[in-house]
Amino acid sequence: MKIFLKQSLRFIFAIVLFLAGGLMVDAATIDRHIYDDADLLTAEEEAELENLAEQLGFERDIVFVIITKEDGSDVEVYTDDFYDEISQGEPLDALILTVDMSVREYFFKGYYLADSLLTNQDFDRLENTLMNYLSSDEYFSAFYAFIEDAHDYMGVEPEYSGEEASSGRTEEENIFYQWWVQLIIAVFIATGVVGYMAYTSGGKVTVTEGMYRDHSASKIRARKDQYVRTVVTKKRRPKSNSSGGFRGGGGGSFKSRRGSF
Amino acid sequence: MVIHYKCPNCGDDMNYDAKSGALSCPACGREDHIDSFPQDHIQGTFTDDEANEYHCENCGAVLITDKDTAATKCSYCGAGVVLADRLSGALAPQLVIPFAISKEEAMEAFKKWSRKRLLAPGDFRNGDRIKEITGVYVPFWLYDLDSDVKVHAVGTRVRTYTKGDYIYTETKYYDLYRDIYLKYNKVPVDASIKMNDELMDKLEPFPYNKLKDFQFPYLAGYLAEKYQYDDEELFPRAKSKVRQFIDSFVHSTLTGYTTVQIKDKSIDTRKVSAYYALLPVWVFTYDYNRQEYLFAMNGQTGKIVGYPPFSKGRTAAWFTGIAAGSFLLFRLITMAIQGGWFS
Repeated sequence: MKIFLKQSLRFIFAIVLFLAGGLMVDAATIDRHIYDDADLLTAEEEAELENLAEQLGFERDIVFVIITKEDGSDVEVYTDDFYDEISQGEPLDALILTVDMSVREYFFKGYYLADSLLTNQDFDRLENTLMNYLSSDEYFSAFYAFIEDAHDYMGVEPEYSGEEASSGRTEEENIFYQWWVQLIIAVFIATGVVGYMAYTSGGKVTVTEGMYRDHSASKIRARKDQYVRTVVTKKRRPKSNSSGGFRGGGGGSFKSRRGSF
Repeated sequence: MVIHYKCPNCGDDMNYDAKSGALSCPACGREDHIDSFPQDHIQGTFTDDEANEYHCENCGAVLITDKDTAATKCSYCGAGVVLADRLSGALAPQLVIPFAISKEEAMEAFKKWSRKRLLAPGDFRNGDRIKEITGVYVPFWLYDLDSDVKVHAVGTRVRTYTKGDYIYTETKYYDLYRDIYLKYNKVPVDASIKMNDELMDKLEPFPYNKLKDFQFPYLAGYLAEKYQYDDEELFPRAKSKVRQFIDSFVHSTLTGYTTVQIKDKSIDTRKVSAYYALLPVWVFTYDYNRQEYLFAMNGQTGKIVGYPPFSKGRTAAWFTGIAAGSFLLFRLITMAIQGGWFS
């Protein structure tokens, strides 16, 4: 029973991801992954990282992007703007890391599939490794490990990653799995059932409308259904809605981490 | 005039039998069809209506009745008697539905029913404190009503779709109009002051295929009342009853829309005819905790209505049980999906 339920959930999850995938910008259309504006890497290092991002990204169908800059602008806003630019308004599965050297801050965020495939725990582990390298100014190693680890974590199938990882992946944020929410619902149900029992304990009205109606004599003499007008309203679509699948109204944002080193 | 049916065989008092639908004699078992009952065994004399004093045809004792009683049993000898002048002239019923459920069956059914009152105290649910059970023919007016209904409404059909970054909501508006003629036949309204309207409404439906032209013998052995409100006085209540039917019929003609808002509804209901009918009701009085509870049973269908006492303990137990049960179920489902009791 337990396994069956789990598997059917996985299955639905997979379908949702598959459907969402159909709408996405093809990862192959992004031809540059490393934007080293702060000049932290040598040309060889940059080429090697570019190669790595290209290859591992292709395997996972994810766009890995690493940006370094020193203009002091907000790393979070910068990342989102950059994402908007490369995604051209279509959903894009991307993991973007931005590092600003002037304020020594980093920010990374997973979009769509990159968000779904990584748990909160995965994000914590990525951040730890990143912090260790950045604080000792080992930028090449930091970025190399970041892409490689993210690639590895994404490859861990939920079935093999243990209970916690799987719950973190799909159901963790669903409020209906919280015990206190369920307790409230249970009390509501009991109130409803007992209320209904009390209400009907004295007998119900069982007469229906048609019981006394003379079916042959009663008739609709005239009916008119006249079309008048159409009103169309539009509203901007929330940034993330479908790819999470089971996130169930968890705010509609992607997971990200921010910090300074 | 007091009517009393004497057995042509043995002279005992005859009563209407719910099972066989005939006048039957409890002493010798003789049964007579009510149409063929020999006239000379119907005993009756006219009395002056002055002091509401009637004498039992059987033993001569004064019949103690209140002013609305139309059939009763002599409190001295137990003979079933019908006070015919209270059911004659303007007070003559046109229709009657006889009892189909006997006193014993009614008792049995009531006990079964009280066992199923899950929120009632345990010793109520034994059903063994029936203080009194009485078969009563309750006066009802059955209305034939014609209604003209005209409705103006606005209906919408809503469609949403996504294009690019936007969600579009398209609402189409429709002008709706319905002109309806509705005929409702034999809508029952109880004409007795003593009977609780809510209980009587819940007793419905009475099976109209069992309607018979009124005859006195049906009442032998039962209590009966004459109407205390005439059909004009009760017409507003009949109107409000069909009003609910009309509303739900109107609603059923306005389908296929996401929302329907009624702008204007005019209902004109007219009385075509009203029949005075006596309908069979078993009335139970039940003693519990020095309080009297009243229940009523449809004498044809066996449907029972009336509010039993509440047991706080039992109600609390059911509440806790259901709440705990569903909470447990939720936890099990969560555990099946996630593993772990508290995530």
